[in-house]
Amino acid sequence: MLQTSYSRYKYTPDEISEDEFLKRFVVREDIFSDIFEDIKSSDDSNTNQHYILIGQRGQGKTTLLRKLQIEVKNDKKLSKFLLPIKFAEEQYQIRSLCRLWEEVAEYLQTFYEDEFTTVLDDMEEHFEDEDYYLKCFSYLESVVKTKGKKLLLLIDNIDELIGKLSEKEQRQLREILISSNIFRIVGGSTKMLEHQHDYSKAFYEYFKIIKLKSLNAKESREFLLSIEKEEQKEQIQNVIKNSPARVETLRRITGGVPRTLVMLFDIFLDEDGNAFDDLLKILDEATPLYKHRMDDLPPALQEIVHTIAINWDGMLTGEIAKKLRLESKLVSAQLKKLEKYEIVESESIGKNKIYKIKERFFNIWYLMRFGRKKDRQRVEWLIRFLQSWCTQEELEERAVNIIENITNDKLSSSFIFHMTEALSYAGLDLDIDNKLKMESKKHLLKKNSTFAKELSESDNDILGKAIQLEQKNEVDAAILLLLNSKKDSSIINHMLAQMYLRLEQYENAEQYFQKSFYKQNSQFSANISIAYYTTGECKDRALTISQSLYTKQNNKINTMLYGLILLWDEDFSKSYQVVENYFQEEDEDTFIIEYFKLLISKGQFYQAKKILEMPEYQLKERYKPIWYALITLMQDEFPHEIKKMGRELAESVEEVLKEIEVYKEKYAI
Amino acid sequence: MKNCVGQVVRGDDFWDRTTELETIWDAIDSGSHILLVAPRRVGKTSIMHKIKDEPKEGYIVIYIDTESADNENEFWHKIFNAMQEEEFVNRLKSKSKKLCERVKNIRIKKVSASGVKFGDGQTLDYLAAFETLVKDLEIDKKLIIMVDEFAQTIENIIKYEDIKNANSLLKAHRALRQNQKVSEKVTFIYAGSIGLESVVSKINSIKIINDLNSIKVLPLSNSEAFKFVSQLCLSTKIELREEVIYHLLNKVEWLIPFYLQLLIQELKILSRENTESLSDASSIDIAIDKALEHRSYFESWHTKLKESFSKEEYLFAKEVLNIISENYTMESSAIINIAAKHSLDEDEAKDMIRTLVYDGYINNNENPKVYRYNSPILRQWWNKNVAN
Repeated sequence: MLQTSYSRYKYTPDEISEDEFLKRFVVREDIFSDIFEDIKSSDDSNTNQHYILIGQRGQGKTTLLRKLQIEVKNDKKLSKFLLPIKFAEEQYQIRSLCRLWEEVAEYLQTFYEDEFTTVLDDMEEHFEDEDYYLKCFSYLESVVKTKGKKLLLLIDNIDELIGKLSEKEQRQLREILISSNIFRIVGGSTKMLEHQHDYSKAFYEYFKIIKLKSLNAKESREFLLSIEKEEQKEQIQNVIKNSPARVETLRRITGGVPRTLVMLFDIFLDEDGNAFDDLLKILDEATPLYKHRMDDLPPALQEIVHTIAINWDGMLTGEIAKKLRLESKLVSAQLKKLEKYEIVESESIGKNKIYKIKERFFNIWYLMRFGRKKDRQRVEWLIRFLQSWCTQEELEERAVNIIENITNDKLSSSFIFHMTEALSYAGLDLDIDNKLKMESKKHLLKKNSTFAKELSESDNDILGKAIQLEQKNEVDAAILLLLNSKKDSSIINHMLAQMYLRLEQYENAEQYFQKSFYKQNSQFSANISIAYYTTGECKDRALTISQSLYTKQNNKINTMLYGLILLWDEDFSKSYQVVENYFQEEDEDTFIIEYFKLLISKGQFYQAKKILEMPEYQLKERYKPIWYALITLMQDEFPHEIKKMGRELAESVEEVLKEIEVYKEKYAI
Repeated sequence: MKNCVGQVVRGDDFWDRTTELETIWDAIDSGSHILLVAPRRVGKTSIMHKIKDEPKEGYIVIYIDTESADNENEFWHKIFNAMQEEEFVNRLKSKSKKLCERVKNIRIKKVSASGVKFGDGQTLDYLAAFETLVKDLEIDKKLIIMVDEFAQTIENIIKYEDIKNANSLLKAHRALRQNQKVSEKVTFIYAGSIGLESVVSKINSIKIINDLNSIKVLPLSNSEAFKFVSQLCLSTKIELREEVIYHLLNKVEWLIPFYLQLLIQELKILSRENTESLSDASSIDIAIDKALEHRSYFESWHTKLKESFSKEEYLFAKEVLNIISENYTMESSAIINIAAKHSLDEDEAKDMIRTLVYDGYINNNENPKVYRYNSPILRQWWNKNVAN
C-alpha cells in the first residue's frame, strides 16, 4: 500500500498543532502585527477596518488567518470580548447573505455555547417571517451586542463568498459594513489576482487590501530554518551556511512562495516519494483555478503563455516572436497585457526584457500537464532543482536508492516515473542510468501504469542506436538522434563530439568535447573566464562565458565571477543585484576583496561605502584594509573616520591603494 | 489617528472637518432639510457618523443606509426598524423619555405594502405612522434622520419597479418635510455616493427636491491636507520631509482623504522594504504606481457608469473620459462632437457631463469651456486600465 496522506498536513496550516504552528510563524510578521495592533487599538467609537489578504496559492493567507485566530484567543484583554470565527477553507455551502449570518450563529452556538446557547435556534424561529431576509443580521447583531461581544470573521476565499451574493445582497452587505461595528472581516483571496476577477463590487473599497509578496533571500532562509524538525535542522543549517546559493536557487525556482519552497525542499529530503506525491496532489487541487486562468485568455495570449511556460527559463521578446513566427512588436504588446494581468513578469537586462511566468507553481503545473511526452520539458523544473541541490555523487546516490526501493514496492508509480526522468536528464553515470531506466520500466509495466510508455530512453539505448546508425554510415541521422534526446550527460556529449569529428566539423566537435568535459569539471569555463579577468583582456568574451555559467548554475563562484565582470563592464546596478547575496560569507574571501578594489577603482565610492556599512554583513570590520583605503580616498568628506585607523594597518592599506591605482588603468573600458 | 483605507472613519480617526460640520449644524439650526452633495469617496459618510456620534445639545440622531432597499415598503421598513433598534432606544432614554416610552410601548408588528401595523391592531399609512411616532418628542428636542444612499434607493426603485413608485417615495418625503408638525421635530439629511439631483432630474422630478438646502462637501484644502498627512505619518511611523509631503499633495491634486490614506499605506510598505527610499520625492511616484495596482479601489469608477447609464450614454461618457485621460483636457466643442457620434443631442450630452462633474470625475473650474480630471490619479488609472 502506498502511504498517501502522511505529510499533507505540512501544507495545510489548519492541520498543524498550535505549538508547532506558532513556532513556524517566522515570516510575514509585519503584516500580522499591523493587523493585530489595529485590532487591539480599536474601540467602540470606531467602525472597524476590514482587510483582504491577496496572494498566489501557498503565499500564506490561511496561515495569517490562523495566526490571528490564535493570538486573539491568547490575548488576555481581547479574548474577553472578541470572538474569532474561522470557517473551514472549503466551507462554501454559503450561498446567500442570510446563510452567512446563520453560519456565524451556528459557529457561536457550537464553539461559544456557554454564552450563545440558543442564538441559531432563536434566529430559526423567524425563518418563516416575510421580512426575515431583511432582519436576520439584526437578530444576530442584537444578541452579540447584548452579550457585549464582537466578532472577528476570518474568511478564506472571500471572493467566492462575495461572488455568490445577489446584487441586492451585495448592497445589503455594504450597508452592514458601513453601519455595524460588531464585527471585523479579515479575508483571503487568490482570485483577486486573476485578471478576469470582477472588481466592480463596490464594497471591495471598504477593505484594506494587503498583497502578500514573495519571500526575499533573508526571509527564505529564516523560513526554511523554521519548518523542519530537530533532526533535519542541522542539515538545513549546513546547507544555508555552506551553500547559500542553493537556497537562492530554490527561491528562484519557487518564486519565493513559502508553500512551494517547502514542497521542493521536502523533495530534497524525501527518501520514499511521499513529498512528491503530496506535490502532485496539490498540483491537482490547483487545476480548476489554473485551467480557468488559461481558458479565459484569448488564443493569441494563450500561445505566448504556452511558449514561455514550456521554456521554463525567462525568454526575450525576440525569442518568443521567433518561436511563434510573429512580429516582435506584436508580441511585445501582448506581453504587456500579460504582465498587466500578472501572469508573466519581466526583468530588464540592458535594453531588453526577459519574460517568465510569474507564478512558478503555475509554471510547474503547466509543464507537468502540457510538456511533451518523452521529453525533458515535463520535469525541467525538477532537473534544475536537482542539479543545483545535488552533486553528481548525490544524484547517483538517489538513483541507486530508487533502484533499491523499487524492488521493495515502496514507491508510487508517478514518483518513480518523474524522478527517473529528472535524474536521468540531470546526468547520471551510464550504468546507473541504464539500470534505473530498466528497473523503472519493469516496475511500471508490472503495475500497468501508463507512465511505462512515457519513459524516455536510457543513454545506453540511445548510444546503441547511434552506433548502429554510424556503422551504416548514417552519421547525420546519428547526430540528429543524439541531439533530439536532449540529454546532457557527458557520454552523450562525447559521442556527439566524435560524430562531428567524423564529419570534420571541428568547431562543433570542440563544443561538445568541451561540454562533456564541463560536465566532469565545472571549473573549466570558470577558469577561462578568471584567466581573462586576471590579465585584463577579452572583457566581452569573459562576460559571455561568465554570464552563461551564471545562468546555468548560480553557485558562489559563478555568481561572484559574473558580478565582477559586470563591474569591469561598468554595468553597475546589474552587478550589485547579482552579487548582493554573497556578502554574508564569513570567511575572508578573495572574490569580495577583489570586488571592492574594482568597485573603488571605478570611482564608485558611495556605493562601496554603502555596502561596507550595511549592518547585516559587517564588512567594514572584516575587511579593514579595504575600508580604510576607501576612507583615505574620501577623507575630505570624512576626516574623523580616517583617524580611527590603527597603525598596523597602514601598510596593507597602502598596498590596496596601489592596486586600486593599477586597476584604474587595467580595467578601464 | 489610524490610517483607515476605504472604511468609514469614526471617533479619533476622524479628521476634523470643522468648516463642513459648522455649515451643516448652522443649516440644521435654521430648520432646513439638507442634501449633502459631494462625489464619492470625499468623506460624506464619515461626516454623518461624526454628527451622529457627537450631536449638539437637544438633538437625537439616527443614521440609516438605505442602498439595499428597492421598493418603498423596504425603505420604510428600514426607517421604522432603525427607530426600534435597541441601541437607539437606549440613547433615547436619556434624551427623550416620552418618545422612548412611546417607541417601547407601541411595538410595530408589521411593515408591509398596506402600511404600518401596530401592536394594538391599528394600521396606518407610512406617513401617518411616522407622524404618530414622532409626535411624542419633547418640545425642545429634535430628531435628525440621516438617510445615506438615498439616491441609490430611488435608482433601485426606477430599475426594479417604475418611475411612478420612485416619484411616490420622493413625494412622500416632500410631504413629510412640508408637514409642519413633522418638520418642527425632524430634520432630514440626505446623502449618497451617487447624486440625488442627477437621478431625480433624469425622471424630471427635480422640483420635488428643490426645497432641500444643498451643502457641498469639498476635498481638503492644501493646508488641511498637509496637516492630515503629517498626522497620518506620525501615527504610521513614517517620516516624510516637508517638501516630499508637498510633492505628494501636488501629485494627488484632488485632496480627498481616501487618496491620501491610500498613498500613506503604500509609503509605509515602501519604507519597510527600504528605509532610505522615502527620503526623496521619487518615492511618491512609486507609491502612486503601487496604489494604482489596487484595481478594487478604482474599478467602481468605471462600472458605475455602466450601471447607471444607457448603453449609448455609457459609450459616450467612456469615450470622453478616455480622450481626457490621454490629452489631459478636452474642450466642450470636442465633447459635443463625440456626442453626435453616439447619437446624443447637445442637451443630453450636457446632462451627462454635469453628472460626470457632479460624480467627481471631471471639472471645468479653470475655464468653463475646458474639462479635465479632478484627480490625476484617477486619470492615470483610467488611461492605463480603461482607455488602453
